[in-house]
Parts: sequence; structure tokens; C-alpha cells
Amino acid sequence: MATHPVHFDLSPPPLHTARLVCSLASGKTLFLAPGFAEAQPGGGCLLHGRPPQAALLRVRDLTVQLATDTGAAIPVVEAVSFDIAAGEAVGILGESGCGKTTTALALLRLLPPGGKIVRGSIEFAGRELVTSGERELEKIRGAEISLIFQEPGIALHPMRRVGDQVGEVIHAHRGWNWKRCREEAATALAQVFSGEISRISEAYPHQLSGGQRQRVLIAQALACRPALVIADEPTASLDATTQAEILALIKDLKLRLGVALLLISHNPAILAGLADRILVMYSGRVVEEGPLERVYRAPLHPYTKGLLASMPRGASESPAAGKGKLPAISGSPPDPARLPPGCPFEPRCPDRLAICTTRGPAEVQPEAARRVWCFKYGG
Amino acid sequence: MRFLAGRLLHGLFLLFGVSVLSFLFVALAPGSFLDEMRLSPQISPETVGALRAQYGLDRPLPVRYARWVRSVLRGELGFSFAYNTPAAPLLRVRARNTLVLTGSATLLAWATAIPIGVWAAARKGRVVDQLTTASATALLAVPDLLLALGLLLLAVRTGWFPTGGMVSLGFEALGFGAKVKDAARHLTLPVVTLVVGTLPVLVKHVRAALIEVLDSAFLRAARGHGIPRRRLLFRYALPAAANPLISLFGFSVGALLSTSLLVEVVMSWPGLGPLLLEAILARDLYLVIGAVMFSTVFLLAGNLLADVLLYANDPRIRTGER
Ligand SMILES: Nc1ncnc2c1ncn2[C@@H]1O[C@H](COP(=O)(O)OP(=O)(O)OP(=O)(O)O)[C@@H](O)[C@H]1O
Ligand code: SF4
Ligand SMILES: [Mg+2]
Repeated sequence: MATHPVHFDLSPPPLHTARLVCSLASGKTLFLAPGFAEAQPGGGCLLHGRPPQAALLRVRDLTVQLATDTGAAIPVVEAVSFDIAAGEAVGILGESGCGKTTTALALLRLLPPGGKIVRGSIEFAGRELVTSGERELEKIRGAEISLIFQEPGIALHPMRRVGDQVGEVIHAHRGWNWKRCREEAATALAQVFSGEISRISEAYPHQLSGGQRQRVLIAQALACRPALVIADEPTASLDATTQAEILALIKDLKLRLGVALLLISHNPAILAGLADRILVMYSGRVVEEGPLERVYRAPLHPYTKGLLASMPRGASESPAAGKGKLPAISGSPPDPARLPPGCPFEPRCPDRLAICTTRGPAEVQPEAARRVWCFKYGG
Repeated sequence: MRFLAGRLLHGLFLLFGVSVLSFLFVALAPGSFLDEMRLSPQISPETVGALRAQYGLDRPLPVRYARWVRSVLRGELGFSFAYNTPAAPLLRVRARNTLVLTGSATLLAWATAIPIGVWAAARKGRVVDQLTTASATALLAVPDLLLALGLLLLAVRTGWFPTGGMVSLGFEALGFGAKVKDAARHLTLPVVTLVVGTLPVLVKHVRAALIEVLDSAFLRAARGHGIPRRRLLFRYALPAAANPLISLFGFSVGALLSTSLLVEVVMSWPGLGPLLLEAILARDLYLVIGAVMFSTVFLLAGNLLADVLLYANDPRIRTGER
């Protein structure tokens, strides 16, 4: 392996191929000569001088409760708002348990039994998902928004060939006959595997390695050419080498397909080369948002500072990393059932002020395109 | 293939064991077919003695077993004292009738239990599910015999169904369609008894197996891919939940078979059940052993079928994992 794609790289994503992408409103892509135009986060296109188009996904005030085994409601996601434009890659960063997965599941209305969206709106391509019926959602899931789940080891059916499982997704949305779906599945697999597609297609999950299974999941997610792919910790369970390969693959697919991405990770290094913009989450809330490059270079929120300071520079994550304590931040996140009355980060915050225990901080815009929730900046 | 060959060998071994055991039990049981003759003043002790020698009953047990094995290999399965013929033809007809009854009951029971169980599992905790579970529990408490007698009473009162036998008088003269209809009418009562008796257990297991699988990550993932609900239930959840159910299928064949023998007696279905009872009462020992052997073969066939299904369903077994 030559270079490691998860080093702390603040330059724009390297556009190494001779093809550059210009995202169009339709989500189709156009290939241009190098140096002609840059893929613009936000879907705006330098070549056409077009302003960033309306958001593909518009989340406002999303508030989610899950239920304990005894049925008591626990607030897990609180007033989360963000946009994703067509073709844009947004990262969600935060420690384990801060509500990243719950946010992702809520977007597709896939919350576990007992979980519910208590407030807020999720607008996708002009449709409100919070009030959509199960039939409508079935049509959107996998076809327009797809989800790569956190656990690749168990996200595939253990008794069905992986080619069939990719075919099923196509079958569900295209209504083609099975043979054609299988052929299309092979095409989808060919995007993420080099060579030996038929062998992979015919294999059962237990016959594949972790990296191969993750590739199958990616093929499944992309099979119906969705406009948005949500990847929840896509590399968390993989070894360092495989992890680098998968990240390179995601980067490559993002450039080639122009699909919008919502990438979830607890590791800042994973998001570094991939996301255009990041949301930092703590205790179910967004605490900071902004272009990745600027946030990483000059984090504002004390929690973001702590997260970035504890990031192993250039190192990849081991499966255990990130699940443990953060060296730069003492203590651990509060129990969502017993949140402190003021800023949820207050018990661990090195910069806390007197006001911090009285109420939660409000949104502040310290500079263009950046938001932070902290009394240090007003709030 | 190794897996199935192993299971087959295992079955043959079991069959041998059962034959030895049933031979021992029957031979050691007090009394013999000739006891009644001995009591009869018309038959001289010499005749009885001659018969004893003719049937080989005066020989030591291992010799009798060896003779029986030889007759099995000839396809005679020993000799029926009461009918005075080789046991095989008698047993074959009865075994076929038992197979018809048990087979159709097994098929029908599972064909009903699967949709009901899946349906209840998909609505876990809702009223329909609770109702299904409650009625299954209630039905479970009814003894099979009571069920059979109740249905019999119903048939007698209403006259909707024949109360015994396998075909009506004059069956041979009927056309093909009428024959099928007549046989189905006779089959209804015993089959319904067996199905109703087994259904609650099967439904409960199908439901439980499905509920466990419906919670799993790959089903959540499939739902996230927009796989429609019906397909999710039958093409994803059911195969994943099938392994324990297939094992249960093997057991259910055995359970249905033993209940079937009982129901046959109560409803005078001309299967192995009445024959076995009659043979035991008459101490017609080779007929008893033959009936036991046939039942064992059915049982083993049910289990072997379960193994084949398991093999077909789970690629992890096929590729020798786990
Ligand atoms: N099914 C559930 N029922 C009840 N509480 C849950 C459930 N799943 C998660 N939680 C709780 O909700 C909170 C947020 O969990 P979530 O899985 O969204 O976090 P996460 O940021 O994805 O963490 P991780 O990095 O560990 O995946 C945690 O406190 C967790 O304990
Ligand atoms: S609001 Fe106060 S406690 Fe919270 S992060 Fe900012 S300074 Fe720290
Ligand atoms: Mg998670």
C-alpha cells in the first residue's frame, strides 16, 4: 500500500484522475478535462456559474426519542438541523453514543421499536419524510437514499448469495424480471470489485472477507443510483489496510458518481479526506458545523478542539480506537436520560463559564458558513 | 453430500437397533399366540407343539432373530400367525394408508402454520397476535383423543363426513373424480383431528422463530433498502428462521405419526394403528415387529427429509461450516 488515505490532509480532495465531475441538478454527471472545473461542494458549478441549488436534504429541528426496555422515553437526538446539497459530502463526527446512528436511522424512518421522531422535519427532494407512509418510504429507501449500516458483518442475509442480495434491491425498485436484476447486480458489483465478479456474486457472506462484504454493501447501496448515501461508520470493523482501501473506494465513487454522502464516524481522520462539511455532535445535539477544512484548522467548540486534539495524526483507527476515552477530554458523555440542565458538555468543559450551567447555548454564526453552540462565542 | 450420507448411515444403524430392541421386548413379553390354542380342548398339545416348532418359537432368540432378518431380506418381514401369511403384504397396505394420513396431515399442518405464524410475528404485540397466541394456548390444552371424539360426535350428528373407513362401499365402481372426492371426504375427519392437534405447537414455534429473526441486523438493513414487507417476511425472514423449524418438522413427523396411530384406531382408519393394536392383543409377534419397523422407517424418513431440507436451506451447512 503506497499512501495512506486517512492522513490528516487539509488540502481539497486530490482529483487525480483525468475526469472531473460537475454535478448537475439531475444528479447526472459530466466528465471534463482536468483543471477545467472543480467539483463544488453545494452543487454549484463553476463552469456554469450556477449558485448552489436548493438542498437535497433539509433537516430541521429533528428530535428523536428512543425507549428503554421498560418503555421509558430517552431523548437521544435534540433539535438537529442541517442541509445536504446534491453531490455534497457531509460528515457527522462525535463520540460513541452521541446519537449519530439514531440520526441516520431517523432520516429513513428506520428507528427501532419504541423510537419516534417527536419533532422536526426531514425534507428530501421536496418531500416530507416525517409524515410519509410506509409505502412511500419503501420507494425512497434504497432507491433515492440508501444506507450502509454500521455492522457489515451482519448486514447481509447469511443464507443468500450476495449477488442475489444486490439483485433484490434492484428488483424491489425497478420491477424488472429476476434475470435482468441479476445482470444489473453484476454491474453494480463490478463498480466496487475488480475482476472475479461471478465468483463474488455466487458467494455467500460467510465466504467473503470483511472488506469484501463491505464492498458488497456499498454495491447494494449504489445499485439503484440513489441521490444520497448514508454511510454509518463504514470502516469501523475493518483492519487498517482494508479500511484504507474502502475509504479510497468511497472517495473514488463520490468523484465518479456525484452522489451526495452523509458520512458518520467517531474518528476525525476518517472524515478528513472525504467530507466537504462536518457536523460535530455531542449528546444528541449539533455543537459545531462548518466546512471541514476550516473546522479542522480552527475548531471553535471546546468539544471539537478536544476531539481533534485526541486524533492520532496520520494513524488509522484500530477497531477498538475511539470507543475508549478521549485523552484530551476527561470524563465521558452524560447519560441521555439524565442530562445536565445547562450545556451538556459543561461537566467536561475546560472553558466553562458561569452561565453554562443555567441553560443550553443557542446557535451563533461566528463566521460565514459556520455555526457553533457555545457561550464562549455569544449564544 | 458427506453430511447426508452420514445421516443415512445413522438412520440404518438406528433401524437395526430398533429391530433388535423390539424383537427383545416382544419375545420377552409374557404370553404367545399359541396360548389361546393351548386352552382350547379341541387342539391337542401335540398340534400346539408342532406349530411351535413350525414357527420356530422353540429356538433360541438369536436364531429367531437371524431367521427374521433373512425373511426381511426376502421381503416377507416374518409371518403373521393370525392371518397365516407372510407379514409384508398386510403391512404394506396398512403402511400406505398411514402414510396417506400422516403425510397429508403433516403437509396441511405446516402449510397452515407457516402463514399464521409469520402473520402473527409481523404483528407482534397487537391484538390479532395476542388473539392467535391465546387461541393456540387454549387449543394446546385439548387432548388429542378428546378432539378426535369431539369431531367424531360432530360427524355423527351432522352427517357431513363419514365416520370411519377409507373409502365408501362401491368405491371401485366410481370414476376417477368421484374416487378422489370420496377418499378426500373420508380423509377429512382424521386429518383435521391431527392438524388441529399439531397446529398450536407449530404456530407458536414459527412465530417465535420469526420474531427472533425480525429483530436482526440484516433484516433492518433489507428494510433500509426498501425491500417490500411481504418479500421481507417470506424471502428474508422465513429462510433465516427456518433451521429450527426444519428440525421441528422432523420431530413433528414423529409426533404426528404416533398421534395418527391413535386416531386411526378411534376413527377406524385402516392404517398401521388398528393392525398394531390387533397384533399386540393377539400376540402376533412378527406383525407387531413389522408395524413397529414401518413406523420407525416413517420416522426416520421424516428426519432424513428434515436433514435434506436443512442442507438445501443453509449454505453454511453445505459448505461444511458451523
Ligand atoms: N435501541 C435502543 N434503545 C434504547 N436506547 C438506545 C438504542 N440504541 C441506542 N440507544 C441509546 O441512544 C444513544 C445514541 O445511540 P446511537 O447508536 O445513535 O449513538 P452513536 O453515536 O451511533 O454511537 P456509536 O458510535 O456507538 O455507534 C446512546 O446513548 C444509546 O445508548
Ligand atoms: S457552552 Fe460553556 S460548557 Fe458548553 S462548551 Fe461552551 S464553554 Fe463549554
Ligand atoms: Mg452508531
